[in-house]
Amino acid sequence: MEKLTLSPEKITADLVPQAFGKRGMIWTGCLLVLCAIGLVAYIRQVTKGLVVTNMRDYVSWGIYISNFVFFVAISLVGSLITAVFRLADVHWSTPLTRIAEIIAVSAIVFASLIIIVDMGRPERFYFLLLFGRIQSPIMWDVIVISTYFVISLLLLYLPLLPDIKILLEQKGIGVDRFQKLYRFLGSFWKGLDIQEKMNNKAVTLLCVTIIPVAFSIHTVTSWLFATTYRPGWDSTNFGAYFISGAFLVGAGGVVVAMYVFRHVYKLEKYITEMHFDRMGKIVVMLALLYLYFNVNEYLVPAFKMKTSEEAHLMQLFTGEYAAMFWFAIFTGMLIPIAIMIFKKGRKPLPMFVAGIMVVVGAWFKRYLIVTPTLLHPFLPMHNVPASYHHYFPSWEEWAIAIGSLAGAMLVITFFARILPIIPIHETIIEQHETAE
Amino acid sequence: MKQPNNYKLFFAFIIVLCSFSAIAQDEKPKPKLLLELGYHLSNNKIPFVSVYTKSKNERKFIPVPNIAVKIYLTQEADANLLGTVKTNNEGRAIVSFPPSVQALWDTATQFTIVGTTDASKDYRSISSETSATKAKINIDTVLVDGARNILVTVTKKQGKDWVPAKDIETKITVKRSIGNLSVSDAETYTTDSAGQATVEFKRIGIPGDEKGNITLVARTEDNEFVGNLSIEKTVPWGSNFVNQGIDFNRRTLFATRDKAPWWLLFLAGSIFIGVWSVIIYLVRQIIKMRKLGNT
Repeated sequence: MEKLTLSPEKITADLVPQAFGKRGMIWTGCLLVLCAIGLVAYIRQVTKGLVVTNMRDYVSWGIYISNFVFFVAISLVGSLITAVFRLADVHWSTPLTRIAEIIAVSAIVFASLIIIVDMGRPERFYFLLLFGRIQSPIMWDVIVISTYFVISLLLLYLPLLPDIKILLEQKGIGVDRFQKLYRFLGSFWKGLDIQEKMNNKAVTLLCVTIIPVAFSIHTVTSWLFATTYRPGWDSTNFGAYFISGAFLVGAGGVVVAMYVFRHVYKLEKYITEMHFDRMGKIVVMLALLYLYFNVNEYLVPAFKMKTSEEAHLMQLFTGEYAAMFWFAIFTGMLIPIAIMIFKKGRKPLPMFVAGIMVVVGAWFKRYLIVTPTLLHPFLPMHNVPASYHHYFPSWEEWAIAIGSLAGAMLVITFFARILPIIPIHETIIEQHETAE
Repeated sequence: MKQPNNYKLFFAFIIVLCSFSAIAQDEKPKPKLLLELGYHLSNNKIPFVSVYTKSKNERKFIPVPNIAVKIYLTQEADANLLGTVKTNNEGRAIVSFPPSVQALWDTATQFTIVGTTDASKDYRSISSETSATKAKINIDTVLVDGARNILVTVTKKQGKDWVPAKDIETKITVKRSIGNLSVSDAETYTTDSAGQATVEFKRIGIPGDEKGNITLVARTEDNEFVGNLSIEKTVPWGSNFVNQGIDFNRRTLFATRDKAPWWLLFLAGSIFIGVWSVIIYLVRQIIKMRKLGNT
């Protein structure tokens, strides 16, 4: 492992939040514009109704639910990088923990919002809480998502406390305007031994708690499908299939974020090639695992080729969705494995490219899980308008979906602007311990 | 004399244009009301007339409610009035033949039904009519080579006699909860020169009531000669409905929210309480750390 030989002052100076330059402002502006377009589309949907979407009687879960599953999946990364590695006493991942926690929080926020969008009228969410049935997996999902959101926030907040003390001591354009916020969040943190002890204990307890909750959140999401008797969803494999896919996309998202933050904030000394190399190995392992579940999901029904499954599978393999299906398999798994299995492929730039492929492939994979199944119900579609036989999202659906993705990135950008993207205190401590 | 400048002229032109546009909008023609009439005879009892008022808007038909329609038999005369009806929110209404027209109806063979509406502030007055031959439909069952067959006969009135009505398209179905299911593979059956259509019953084993009774339905739909005739017959051709003992008052996964199974409530409640106890404990730890830091 490469050793840092930097003074605490240098580490602090390198890692405190920095004011956005021209590129940062343009990036934020673009995200705001995309969010605004999404908001306009959502206002149209609320005022005119779900008729502005192309969802009809059969495809009633379209791009919104695909997006929801994608967000839930990517949010699992917080538990992987932070909780699993912390409990396993893996220290090399320290610079990546906050990135993972921020991604987790922003993704889970937009997973919740996109569900409300999918409901059509937003007050239906209130009715769900008021009249929801505990027997329904949808209700389980609401409970587990809100729980995971709170735990993720705590997991972001508690390890941040020592860094807030450092930020309060700093002066400069990057931190001055946020002093009130820092004081509100952590002025009480004095670094007392008892505080440190309580905080470490709390973080460990959180790490233990978040792993089963994270598994639950995506298992329950998979049950939304698997408890519904339909071709393509009628599987006992779905929970593990979804979780393996979620870890893959989450790790891919962290790789992309690592590269971007490293490049933009000049963090080469902290996020080193070693981190890319190790993350690359993890992504390869997760991609192989997800590939294994994919083989299970498609090969077994394809071997039996029951009549009800046939139309669905053939549409994926050779039919209307074949291009998207093979794109998702190759881009989301096979090509990234081929890149990252070699040491040269685990360098920052190839890893960045492979990470983007994993994330993009994963988004399309979620679309493929949701839509083609809905177009193949057990009972044939008779006497319905031609538009019911196909689904392609309307511009409002695209705008809202893209707006939500932009929103999640905006939240990440916002956190990156006000918080140290790499834990300062932990980096100093680890460097001190390594030096000893 | 001072010349008006170009801007003033331009604005004056726009104002005049807008005024013309507004006047043109005021003189917009009234939308055209459409009136559809249908003759119905169910189980050869008292005939009735269905009324449907609609208008065309952007290539779509929109029902027009609250339209008063006068319905006459044969011609528009007070003595021939079947009734005056007002259409409901779906633009529909029905009127049965009253006893006052019985003498006229008994002598009729071919007849016309006339409907009229009065002019209103939204619509001009319109009239519409539909003609049909007085006809009856009957349904019977026969065994042919041990197979159950359904025999549908359509007869029409000619002079004082009822004669077979040939080439009448009929639908022969079994009544179900929500709609009707064809008794065989074809959708429709046409009567022959004897006015008969025979079809083999192929829905063997279809669930009936507790005694295995099912209801056969034969009908004509908007037929240009005989209108809408329909007849039903109950036959014991179905399988007996067996109550599976499904009780919606039990605590099950498919019951209402207040009847969730105890095991689920216990399991979900335990997990919820377990996880949220940890969260509450952690929030208390934060409060404790805050107090320690502030003292």
